[in-house]
Amino acid sequence: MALWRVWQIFDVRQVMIGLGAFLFGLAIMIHFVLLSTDRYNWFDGPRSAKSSASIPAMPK
Amino acid sequence: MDKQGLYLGNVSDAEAKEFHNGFMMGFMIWLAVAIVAHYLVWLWRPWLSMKTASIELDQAISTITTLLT
Repeated sequence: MALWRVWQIFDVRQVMIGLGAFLFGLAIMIHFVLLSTDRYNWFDGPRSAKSSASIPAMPK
Repeated sequence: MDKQGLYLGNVSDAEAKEFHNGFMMGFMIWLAVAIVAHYLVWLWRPWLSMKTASIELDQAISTITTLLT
C-alpha cells in the first residue's frame, strides 16, 4: 500500500490544479449534455410540442 | 535514507502522510455527495432501467398512431 508516497512522486500543487480543472470540465460537460436532452432537462423539460402532447404519464 | 528514481525529495514522510489524510478525507466527502446526488437523480429519472426504453417506445407508438390517423 503506502499510497501516501504518491505525494513524494507527484507535486501536490500540480495534482490539485489538474484535478480541479479536469473534474470541473467533466462536470460542466455532463451537465450540459443532460440539459440538451428531453428527458433529463430539469429547467423546462421536453422542447418539441409533439412530445409534450403525446408523452404518457411519467412512471414513478 | 536516500530514495532514488521517482521520488522528488521535496516532501517529508510526515508531510506526505498528513496531506494524504486530508486528501482522502476530502475525497470521501466529495464521493458521498456524488453518491447521494446520483441516488436522488435515479429516484427522479432512472437512466438504465427498462422504463427508459419503454418511455421512448411509448412515444414512438403515439407518434406513429398520430401520423396514421
